[in-house]
Amino acid sequence: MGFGGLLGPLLIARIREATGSYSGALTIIAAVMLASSLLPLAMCGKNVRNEPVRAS
Amino acid sequence: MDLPDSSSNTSEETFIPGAQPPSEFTGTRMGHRRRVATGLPAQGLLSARETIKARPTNRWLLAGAGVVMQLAFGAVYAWSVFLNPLVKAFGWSNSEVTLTFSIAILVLGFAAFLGGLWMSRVGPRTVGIVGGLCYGLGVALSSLSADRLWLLYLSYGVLGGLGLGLGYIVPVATLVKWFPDRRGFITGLAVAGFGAGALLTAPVAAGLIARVGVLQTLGILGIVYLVMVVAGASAMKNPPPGWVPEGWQPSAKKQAQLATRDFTLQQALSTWQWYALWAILFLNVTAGISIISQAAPMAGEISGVSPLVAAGMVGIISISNGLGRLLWAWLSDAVGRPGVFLIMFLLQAMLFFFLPAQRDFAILVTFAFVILSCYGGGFGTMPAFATDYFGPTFVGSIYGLMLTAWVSGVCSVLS
Repeated sequence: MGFGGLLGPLLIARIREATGSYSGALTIIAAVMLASSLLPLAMCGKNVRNEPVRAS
Repeated sequence: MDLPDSSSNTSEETFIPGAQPPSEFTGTRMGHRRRVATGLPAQGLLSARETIKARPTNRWLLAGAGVVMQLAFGAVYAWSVFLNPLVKAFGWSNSEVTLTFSIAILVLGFAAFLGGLWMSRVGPRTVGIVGGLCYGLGVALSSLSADRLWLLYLSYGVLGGLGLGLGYIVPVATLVKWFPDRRGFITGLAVAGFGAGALLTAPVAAGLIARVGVLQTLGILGIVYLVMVVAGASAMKNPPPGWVPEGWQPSAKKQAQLATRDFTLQQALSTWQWYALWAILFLNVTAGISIISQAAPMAGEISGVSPLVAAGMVGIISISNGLGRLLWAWLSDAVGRPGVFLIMFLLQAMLFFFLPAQRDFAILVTFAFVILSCYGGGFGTMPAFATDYFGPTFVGSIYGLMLTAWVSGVCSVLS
């Protein structure tokens, strides 16, 4: 395991310790969220049903 | 091949595949529309069991039963109410007692996946009832753990967590099948029940602890949870494959968003979309859990409020977590699932960017409130998103595995 919020809390805690404030960590999360918005954008109009599927 | 459940549709009325449904039945079959990805048509699936048995069903009663189940499951988030009383009563450390919750959530993640797989074979009712028995007994048996920390871990943590995982997926995966016309709203409603569970349980548990003691409270609540979940799960059943609400005609746009065939877990895992959805859930959890994990000290540092006032923000943002589950998911029915996640991500990017500059505590809380509503909105919207892509039949296992993106986040924050 290790997925999900493992990254977020660790990232924000480490950067807080390194820089002495939350500003840097919050700005990084903002940048990550901005970049992440490409994912739902890429999924608009991309329905799985239009793609070939391997039979199990 | 896994067969879609029909065993849980207990008999009163029986109709043959391809025939008209009985007049009492509250929906319409569209067997020609539903296909399994292997190419096996819906009626081919039905022939494996010859007939589908159904009885008149009010899907809103099922929704109510699902919310009751989730209210009981969501009570696990009120664990902190037991924390100090257990520490004081038995001399355990804070982290030792907190580990119980972490174990429960960890087991939940694995059990949700297993529950989804099992549900596609035996139907939601059996899985839900077993989940309720495990969860209720797990909490009740923890009342016997005086001076035995290992028993607390085993009962509340392992057995309770197993019940949580098995049961959590049941109403989510069942209700999306009954509400193809409002998938977002109904999954949001179901998981909002989970969010509201702690709000209802915390004051009740605190009152009981003051009256009868902490272990007795666990015993009483365990029995209450068992009754709530088993009663709710007893109402759970799948609609016949291809069922849609009577008179519902999806628009062309809506039709294009819905999968016309059902993917098995294996097939879903062979598409890039499953991993994209996992990544979306992962990123959304990561952002929200960052705030949850640091809310109080962050509020103190940025706006200079006292620790007591900063702690108040924690309670406020937990409400937004519950509200967001319902509201964002509801909105997704209107603007589409990708559209809602796009809005939530852009909104969070903007709020996180301006958050460090907010010296006014009220504005800071407002920012955190919106961010946490997006965190909850991810859980409310994602089951419907997955169902849109992969169809409703195997969504239990498909979404159950996606929940691995969430589980350890909670564990890492609380342990």
